[in-house]
Amino acid sequence: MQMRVTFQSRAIPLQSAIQQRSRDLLRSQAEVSSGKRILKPSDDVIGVRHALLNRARIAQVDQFMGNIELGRADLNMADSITGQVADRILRAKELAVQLSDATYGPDSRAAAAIEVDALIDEVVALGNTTFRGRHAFGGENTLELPFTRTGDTVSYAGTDNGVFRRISNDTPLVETTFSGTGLFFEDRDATTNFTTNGVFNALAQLKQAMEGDDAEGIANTLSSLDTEFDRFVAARTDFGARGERLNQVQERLEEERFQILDLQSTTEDVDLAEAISDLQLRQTALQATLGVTANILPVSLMDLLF
Amino acid sequence: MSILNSLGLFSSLNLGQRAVTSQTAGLQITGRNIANVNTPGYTRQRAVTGVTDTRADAVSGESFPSVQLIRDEVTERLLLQERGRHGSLERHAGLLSQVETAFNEPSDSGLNASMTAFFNSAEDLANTPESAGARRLFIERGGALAIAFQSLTGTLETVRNENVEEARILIDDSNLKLEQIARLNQEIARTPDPGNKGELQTRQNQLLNDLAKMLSIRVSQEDNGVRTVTVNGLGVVNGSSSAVVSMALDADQMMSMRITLDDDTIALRPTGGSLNGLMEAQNDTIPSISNDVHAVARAIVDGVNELHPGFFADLTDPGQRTRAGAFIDVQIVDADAIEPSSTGLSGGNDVALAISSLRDLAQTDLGDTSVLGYYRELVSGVGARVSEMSQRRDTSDLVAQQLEMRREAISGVSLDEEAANMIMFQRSFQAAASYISVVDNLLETLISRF
Repeated sequence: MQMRVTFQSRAIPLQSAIQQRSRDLLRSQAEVSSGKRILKPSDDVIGVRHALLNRARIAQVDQFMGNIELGRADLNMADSITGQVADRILRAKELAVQLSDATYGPDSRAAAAIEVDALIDEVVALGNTTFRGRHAFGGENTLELPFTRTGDTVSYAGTDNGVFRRISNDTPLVETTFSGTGLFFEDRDATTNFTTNGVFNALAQLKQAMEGDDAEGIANTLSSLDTEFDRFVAARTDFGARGERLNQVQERLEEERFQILDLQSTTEDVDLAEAISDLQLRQTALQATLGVTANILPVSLMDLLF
Repeated sequence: MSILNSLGLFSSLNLGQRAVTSQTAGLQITGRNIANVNTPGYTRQRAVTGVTDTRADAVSGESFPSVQLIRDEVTERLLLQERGRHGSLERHAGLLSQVETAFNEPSDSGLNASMTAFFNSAEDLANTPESAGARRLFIERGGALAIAFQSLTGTLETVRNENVEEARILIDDSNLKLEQIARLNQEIARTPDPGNKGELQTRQNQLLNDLAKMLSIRVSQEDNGVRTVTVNGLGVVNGSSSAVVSMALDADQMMSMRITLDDDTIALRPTGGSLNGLMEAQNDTIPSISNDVHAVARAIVDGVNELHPGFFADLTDPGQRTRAGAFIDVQIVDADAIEPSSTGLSGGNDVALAISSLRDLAQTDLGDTSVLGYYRELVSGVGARVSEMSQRRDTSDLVAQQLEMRREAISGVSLDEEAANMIMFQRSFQAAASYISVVDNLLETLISRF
């Protein structure tokens, strides 16, 4: 059967075409005005998954970069403190070398002993340095004063472990607040917390030898002073290596961030040139449809007869 | 001889009068068609002129000219069915896109961002565990996360509540339409005039079309024009009596609904119509999405509380939310109560670090994905549902449009045809009138010469 064409059968497809074109135009408008291709999950089911992942990952990477900045500041601080401690040990060594010479008398040694005593105080103060509100060498006990001097002994109130930070998903945590253990001393008394085998002991030994006017004893302290000096120099190397690792991770994260931003842009952003030309095409299409509607619909035999 | 007898001039006059009446009636039908050119669901009528019996003494056809409704029952039935399917898909797609909007993704303020910000604040807490500021930030971010969850589930709950209201309105409307259809049946059975019958049926068609969008219906017609309406095999309009559709809410907090006939005695299971779309969304889709959101919240609350007991208040079951409180909330208000470390040392941060790692930790309760991964799948899944449902709706829209066109091709009014018919009836009327005038002249000749 031949299809009859009625007024309605001409109007129905035109109406639905106008609606469709208007919807297309609205969509184009939204894309151009927001600059986004994915405005809601159903716009791109796979893309939205990437969009969410990218956003979460960028937030995480930003957090890691912040962590790294903080970690670097902590490392710089620790490096500077250990450097200053090493300087004090060096000074003590100078004094030891100088005053182990038999030509010096008890008065000079007594005067030097006072300087060494001051050096001990300085090293204690350095060990007690606070950085951003926390003690840099107290381990996890960041708020309690780590080192307390009592006579020629120094006690340690911190913990043996430092505080760790996460700098990326796939690298180990890095220590950024440090323990005094292993750096300022090797061992400590379990009950009194007095430190042994450390910089304080070596300095105290030197001080006592000078007070006792014991040239040989002064000379004997040189080896332990060397050991302490080496320990701090080694620590500085270690801090440097850690800083280098932070740099590497940071570089990698920056690269990753850049890649993700790029990916995010290709996933979510519209190609503006394409979107605008789409918008214009759709506008033209709507105008054409409206034109057809206005021209075709009224035509009827009625118009010709009456 | 007998033929000559029956061909009296008076009977010729009678014949002319019948011709005039017949053309006037035809013109009237044309008028009715033109008047209804834009009436949706109108079935065009055609004047059927039978063989005019010229014998004056013969009983002429009672319904001369008779009226015929031009319609194709198969097309009408398919169209009703497709309207039901379209109504269902459209409602379902509409509700889903409401749900999709509630997720507000991808954005910098959705749950994805809130979760990331919360885990980052745990990282900040790990950086400076002794800082009151970091602790307070951690509590605040936890609170913001809880609010993001609450606002999402709150919207889902609002959608569920609105669904119930909307179902009530749709059911009231359906009942009204069923009643009107039954009343029209009564009138159709009573009226003898076929033109009138057609008018009544057109009105009934419109009601049936509207009803088909709400409930999937099947319509069958008896010889006298009376329609029987069934929904999934159950009669809802029988002659002049109509059934009453009602709704029963299940006791659960998800507000599942059932549609029943005559006060909850018989379950009515419409296979299409907006009521069906509403029910599918209410009973299956939205609860399943709610449960998924809840699973993410549970994984976070349980994970965090295991590391930091009592940080979040215990989670209530999905849909168990009472007016008294939110289903997820931070319990700790005091920054001092935050314990970033299991050792209690000021610089310890193992707990904070572990909380931060939760974001990437695969969890068995979430099908071996992380909370963020599960949430991503959830959002993507909602998007997939919306786009699938919209696609099906668009297809159904197209099918309905095709059927509508077919119906139009058969039953629609063409003004061109009507214009042609009008001229035909006009000319026929003029011819019949001339005939009467000729017979009249003959009669006058006879009478005046008498």
